[in-house]
Amino acid sequence: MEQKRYDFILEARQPIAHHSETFGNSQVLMRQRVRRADGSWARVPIITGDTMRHGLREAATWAYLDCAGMLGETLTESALRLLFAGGMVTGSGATVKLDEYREMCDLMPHLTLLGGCAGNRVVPGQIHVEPALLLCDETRHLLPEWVPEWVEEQGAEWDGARSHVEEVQRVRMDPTLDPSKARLLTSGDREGVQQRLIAGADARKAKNHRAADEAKSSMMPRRFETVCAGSWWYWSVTATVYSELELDTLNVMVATFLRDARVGGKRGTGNGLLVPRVAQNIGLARWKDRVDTLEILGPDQAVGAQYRRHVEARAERIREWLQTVAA
Amino acid sequence: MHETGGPSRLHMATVAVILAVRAQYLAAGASPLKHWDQIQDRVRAAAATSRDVATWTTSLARSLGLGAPDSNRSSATSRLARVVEEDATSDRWLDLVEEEHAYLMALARLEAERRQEERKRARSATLAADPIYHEED
Repeated sequence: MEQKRYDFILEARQPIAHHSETFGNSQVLMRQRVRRADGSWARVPIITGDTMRHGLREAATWAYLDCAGMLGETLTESALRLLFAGGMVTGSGATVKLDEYREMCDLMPHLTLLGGCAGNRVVPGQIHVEPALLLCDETRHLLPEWVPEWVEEQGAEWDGARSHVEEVQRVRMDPTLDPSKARLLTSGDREGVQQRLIAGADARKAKNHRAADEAKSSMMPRRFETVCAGSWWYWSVTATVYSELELDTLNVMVATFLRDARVGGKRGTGNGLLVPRVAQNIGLARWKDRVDTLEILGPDQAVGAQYRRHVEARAERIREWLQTVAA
Repeated sequence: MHETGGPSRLHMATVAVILAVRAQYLAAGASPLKHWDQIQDRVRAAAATSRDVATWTTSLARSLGLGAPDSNRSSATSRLARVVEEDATSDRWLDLVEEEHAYLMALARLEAERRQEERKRARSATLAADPIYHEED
């Protein structure tokens, strides 16, 4: 048995839009209450442990399906839920027997580490995934000593959490306001739009705010907070591993996740990309050396070779098992 | 930050800025139906992204689309900066605004209503004292 702990400083290459709630049409960032070194309190943006853990699970699952040669195949709903969300207790059928449980762990090494629920058996995980903590004045005293030292080596200054946050606005346009697009409408709908525009203009002129509100267009400005690109985050993963295979599985999960780590919302519009800047207890490929971008699990790669062999050898049994699993 | 025994100088100085901002916002054509919600939202958001009174008021004015401050907003802003310097730190004051923005807005709304009542009473007193309204008596 061995306990492995990997520490990282991640850099946001894009703004991070990881939100907790919405007020009106404004989304606010996920924050965590933090006690400052002087005893006062602050609320600091975080990327939750759940988000980071899910990122590991999803990355591990894609790697798993790839290794099993199942990327082009279909899955049952249960299998999909088990692989991408850890499964759930369905209440159907009996709990799996111990020998079946052992086979399940053998077939899905990453499920052993992450935990989950299959065949009505809750599998406890062996991994602790920390939330990513923003490097700022408020969290400085909570970080391992090497982190402030590294920041100092970079010649970077510390700043408060608020300085890292930006609020941005985006607008969903109303195509009916564009005359060239309005021409595409059926005559009935075009007439309706015209009536609405006239009613709105009249209401505004008469200062009838309620009527103006009712006749307004569907153009929707919305605001959301982001943590600025370039911000640094401290993140760590601790796992208890009982074999070389489990260690390799852990490395596959972490490596595949960090190769293209995206967190939070608005990912489709340039938000959420994190890249590792520095690591403790594990090597980090330099950007110029990242020739493995497309095939980190290739046969010549040290990380993942054992994992790939293990999953490849059991591909047929995995296929059968996933077709019948209740999760 | 809020202590028992009523609002502090920090609260009231912040409320004065909110009211001055509100007056300019309404004068610029804001919806009377929605302006309290909009101001509350902007007050909180500005506190979450600013570092002191100067950046907070700038962010608040920009997000509400306000022009240059009138004399009322100018003096309220300047007084707030002074009170924050004397009674707290920028961080503590911003914590207060972020965590107690609903309370600040409640204070602002009550103060706005009190002023409105005061104006009504003053107007009534003026009308009552005007001889033109007593001609037929």
